Amino acid sequence: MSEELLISVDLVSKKFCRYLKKSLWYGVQDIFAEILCRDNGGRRLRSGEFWALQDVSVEVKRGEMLGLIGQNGAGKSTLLKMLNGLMKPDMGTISIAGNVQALIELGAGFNPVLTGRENIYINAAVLGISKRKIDKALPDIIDFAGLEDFIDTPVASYSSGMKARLGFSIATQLDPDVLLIDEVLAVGDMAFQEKCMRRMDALRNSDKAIVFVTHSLYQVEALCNKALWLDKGSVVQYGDAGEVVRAYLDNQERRAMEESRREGIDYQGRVTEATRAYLTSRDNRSTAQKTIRDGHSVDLVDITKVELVDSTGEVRDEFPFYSDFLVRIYYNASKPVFRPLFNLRFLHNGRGVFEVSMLIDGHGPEWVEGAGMVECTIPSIPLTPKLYDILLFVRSGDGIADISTMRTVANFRITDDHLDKIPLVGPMAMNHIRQGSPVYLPRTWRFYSGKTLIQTVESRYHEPE
Amino acid sequence: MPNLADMGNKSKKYSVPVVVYSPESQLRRPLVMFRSMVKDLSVSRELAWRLFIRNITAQYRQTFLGYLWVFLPPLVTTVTFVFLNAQKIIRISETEIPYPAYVMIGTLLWQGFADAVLSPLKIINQSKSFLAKMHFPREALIMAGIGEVLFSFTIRLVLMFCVFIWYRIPLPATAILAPAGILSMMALGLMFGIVLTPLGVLFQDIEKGLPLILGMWMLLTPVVYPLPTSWPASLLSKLNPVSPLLVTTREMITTGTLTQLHPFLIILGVTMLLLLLGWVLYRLALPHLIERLNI
Repeated sequence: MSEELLISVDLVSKKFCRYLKKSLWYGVQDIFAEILCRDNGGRRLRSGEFWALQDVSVEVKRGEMLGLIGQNGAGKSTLLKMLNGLMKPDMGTISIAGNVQALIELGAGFNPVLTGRENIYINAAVLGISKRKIDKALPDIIDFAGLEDFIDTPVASYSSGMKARLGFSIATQLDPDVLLIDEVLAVGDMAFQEKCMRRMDALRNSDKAIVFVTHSLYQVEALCNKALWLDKGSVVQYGDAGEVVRAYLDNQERRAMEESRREGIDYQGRVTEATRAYLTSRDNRSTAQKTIRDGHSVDLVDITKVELVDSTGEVRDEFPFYSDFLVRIYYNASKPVFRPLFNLRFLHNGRGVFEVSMLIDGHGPEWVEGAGMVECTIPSIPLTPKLYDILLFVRSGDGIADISTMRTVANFRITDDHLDKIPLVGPMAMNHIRQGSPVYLPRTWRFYSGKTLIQTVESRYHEPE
Repeated sequence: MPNLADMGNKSKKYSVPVVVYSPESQLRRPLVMFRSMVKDLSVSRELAWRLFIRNITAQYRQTFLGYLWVFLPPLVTTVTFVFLNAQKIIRISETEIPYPAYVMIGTLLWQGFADAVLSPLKIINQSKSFLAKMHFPREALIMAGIGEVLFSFTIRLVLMFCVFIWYRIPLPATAILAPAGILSMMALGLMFGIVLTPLGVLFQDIEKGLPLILGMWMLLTPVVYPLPTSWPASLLSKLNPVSPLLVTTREMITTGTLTQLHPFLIILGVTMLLLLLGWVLYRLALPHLIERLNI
């Protein structure tokens, strides 16, 4: 692999303006500044401006692929547009060596009235490619896009997936040194996405430099050797793709959990009309109700503390994969409560993964009063390595009314430990289990040849010694 | 291209040419800028041709009347003024050739100028998403626009020939200079169009106002009436740069006596200089425009 540096971004910053009218006026000012050879204010932000990108530095050599990740509005596309020379940086410098191809947006250059073939010629001419070269590449472009039957139909009748295929095919078949790709592959079908990934991998291996914006972390981890994580224009992390993706994923999860936790707090004090009706009609018969004062609920059962305990009896917030799991709930019932039902909901990214509920499992003691503790043991907790939240609520004995406010009481992480006890196949398996379904179910596969059982594959987990 | 500093082979580290983008104004390196202007112009040709073909084929595909739209504006203007004049609603002084022919030639020439004024802004507004998402020599757009203007004009020449044959107007020897006159008018129009482009892309007022201004401008130009000689109306020919160009070009194909040659040459020279400056402005402004469009 050649060590030639093709893309070098040195402390690049870019300002954007929030308001259209101001932005247009600043545009006029900037043009005048350019004519008069004055700088456009440099570090200083004018009113309404913010940094769309700030002090970004990256380097991409031949044979490297850089993945840009971050939420919407993080500045990924802005960086890509500056790399392509569509905008000037406000600070810093960008050096690009060689012939650049960019796929900033799908079908940007397609004229809907013209046919696919006509559009290929125009697009290629836009990219600065001679007619002779296009004529030679034409069959390959059409073949890769898989559009043989539609190439002489107007592009207006193409689906977005077909446009994506054509655009990607043109950009990659013309042998660029540097390839810039904005998140355009998301629209294609799975087969085409895979084809694109193979193509990009092949390009990287043939000593191109590629910058790639995507929301698919899987693609970044699988294809890129470097990743840049941007948040609101600033670099959060830059380095090895795997490490950056992992840090990004953890952060995403934490954010989602904080959100769901906030929702949980929101839940507090809200009593539905149905519950209120139920409570007022039964108030005199049973004490196993929530009391209502001034329209606000008061918990009959106060949750004072929740602990997560591992198989050795130690309180912790990290658990190995598929290990025994115990939740200890300390409560205080201000009045005698009739057969309270405890419920634990496990959430990942704010979504319910599973729930353990005494509504299903059955009642506990008839009357509960004062301080006490409930334990719930889940043997071999069937969760994959991720972050989780636990939402706790207590129901009245008939299961209809909440007698404690539903809220997030704990969070924990399932770690990669003990993952080696299941037979993961290939380098992507780890990735699969991290990013795939949160629930892990032991299962058995049986292979038949005709009607004869020839092999059994068990996912059985073996206890670590 | 935007702030391109072609370092060429200066750096031995690279096997391929390097492009540097920085906030620095391109004007700080006029030589580098000039070289890349010339280079971009030459590589633009292929793309400009493609865009031109695309525009003229796609333009009328979704219309019922098709290329008839090229003829309609000058025809409608001519018919209107011939009618107004015949009914004595307006009084136009005697022309040296039959009035319908006079109006037709005038409107055709004016249309060439007006098309050239509108062309840069029109093609850039059409290609906004193109510009914002693809990097290509931006000169190609302007060139494709000029191509369209020339194309429409050439088609409309059919009308002009019809008029000449119908009224049996003999062509003088100066008619051989007519293409130069026509091109000068278009160059003047293009100059106005290019200079207005940066503002026009940012503020749609320009695009909305231009047809209005051009409509009025046409009436202030001796298109449908002969050049006024008495003061203060004669000021029109002195202050209006289109007048000498249009009058001279018309004289080239009709009377053969060029009464406005002097102002014609002066205006042509100034136009060429301003056109070059307009081009520089266009290059400097485009990255800023794209940024502000934010599409």
